Amino acid sequence: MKVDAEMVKYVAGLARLKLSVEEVSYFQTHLAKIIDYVSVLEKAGIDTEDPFLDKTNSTVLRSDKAIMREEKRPISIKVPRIVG
Amino acid sequence: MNDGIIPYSSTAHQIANDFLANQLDIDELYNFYISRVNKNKAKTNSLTFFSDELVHAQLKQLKQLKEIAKKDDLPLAGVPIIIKDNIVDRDMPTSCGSRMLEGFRSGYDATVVQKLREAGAIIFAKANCDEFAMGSTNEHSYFGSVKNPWDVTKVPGGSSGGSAAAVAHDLAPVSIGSDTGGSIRQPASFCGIFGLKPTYGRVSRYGLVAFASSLDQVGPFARNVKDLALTYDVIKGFDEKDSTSVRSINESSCFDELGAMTDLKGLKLGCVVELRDSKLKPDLKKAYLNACDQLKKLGAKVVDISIPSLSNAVAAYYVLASAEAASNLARYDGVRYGYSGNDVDNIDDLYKSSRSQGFGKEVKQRIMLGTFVQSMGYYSSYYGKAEKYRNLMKEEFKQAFTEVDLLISPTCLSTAFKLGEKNKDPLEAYLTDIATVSANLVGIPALSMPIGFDDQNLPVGMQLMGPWYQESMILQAAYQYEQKNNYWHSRTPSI
Repeated sequence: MKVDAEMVKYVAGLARLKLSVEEVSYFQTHLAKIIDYVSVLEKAGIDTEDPFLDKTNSTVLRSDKAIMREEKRPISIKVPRIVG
Repeated sequence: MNDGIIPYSSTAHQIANDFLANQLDIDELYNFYISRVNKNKAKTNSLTFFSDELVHAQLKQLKQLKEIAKKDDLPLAGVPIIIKDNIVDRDMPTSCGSRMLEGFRSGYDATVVQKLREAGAIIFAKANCDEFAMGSTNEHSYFGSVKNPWDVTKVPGGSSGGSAAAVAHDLAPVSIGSDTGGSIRQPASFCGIFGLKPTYGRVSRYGLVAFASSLDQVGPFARNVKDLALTYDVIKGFDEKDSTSVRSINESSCFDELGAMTDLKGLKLGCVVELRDSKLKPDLKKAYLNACDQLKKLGAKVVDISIPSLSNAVAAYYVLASAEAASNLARYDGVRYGYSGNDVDNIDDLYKSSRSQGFGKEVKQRIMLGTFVQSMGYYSSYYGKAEKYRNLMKEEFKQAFTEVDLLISPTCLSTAFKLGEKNKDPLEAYLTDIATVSANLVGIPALSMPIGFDDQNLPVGMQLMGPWYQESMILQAAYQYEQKNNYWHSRTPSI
């Protein structure tokens, strides 16, 4: 994939970065090499995979269960009724 | 230098034991370490913050704590521990090796720091690191490159290079680092010490400045397995402040279990052929194969195993890590905290000036890559593909662990290289992570242990990878190997 100076400036704008002329040239060369390298993933034959399906069932997230406040922390102070 | 204590002779478990048994003059120990740091810290540039006043204040508190606490509650009593500078500590600045956070002070302790304090440790200093933990050489720090204590013309590895170099140089017996793609194991290998990356979720990330949140993990460095296990036991465990923290899985003490094996009989080790048969230098391959033979002599069965997805692991890693980094580092805008740009006309200009002046080249490069792979038109080709690839890798590793107990490989395909050697081509530096990124992508625990030296007398490391939550098995295997092949105590850096 071709990485030109305009593309570098466009991506820098999205990333809220202001680049000098030298930096544009530097990142143009470096990003071209890196993007060319990571493009091997396109040929990895993984199109049928679901990107967010974890087949190992090894999720470390806690169960998504709501806990009522009363269960979590009982109310310790109750103001006595004064009005009415 | 204090004449009473010999460098490299103190271990964390001995310090804690002797201090609690009133058999150690703790002031003498700290006079030794403070003097050693003051004389030597500039040689490797491994520290970003050190204050002897702060150390003495903590010592005073520790002496009071010792009088009232139970001995079992202080497993690291009196042990000096160095913390990587991307982990917050309320008493010390946290710079992340960046101009962006130069002089930044946190209002709270990271959970890891809190646990270490509660266990009686002294938070001794902050360690230099690659900027926001992005790098494999520790040359990308705003505070200058860290040098390898075995040869100061060489890199110590990164990004936790300061943590590794400091322990290898005995500025402390133990340190803490973070590992996103090998940032504990690779510097441990280059500096000839032990380093452990725990299972994702085993150690709280609360207070670790985020680089790539689905890959980051905190872990210890030490010069022996006992100290590594002791420190890991203290920092592991559930933390409700970290939403990815794991609740109570295998909470037994790894330190206590070290002696559970008397040899490695019955253990099946899978030698990863893709990493063994790659571009390993002959002297490294010799050291690695020799270590494999030693493991066999201890009773382990070593078999070849192939994990084909390793071939593109570095590509998947750099897409995912950079994408997460771009999102995580979006918070540095010059408004809320950190460096703020000068001479600006409007708010957009402030954002851009602050970020452009506050971040270094390597960080900008990764932010740019991460922004690109998530941008419209490229998301599914890069980020989506990398996520799919990560799932494929998890499946392959799960399969591998049905065949073998642990996987073994060289930690790196080279020993420490010259400062500046891999700066011109970004891929050369990125590919040094080829053996380590997989453990982060799939979330498994992995350890690097020293197994000898190459032709230039630089340390060589072997990586042990285990199934999810099996840190104890990895540590036990490393401990058995260490008992029979203790290279560290026979050689130390000459600087």
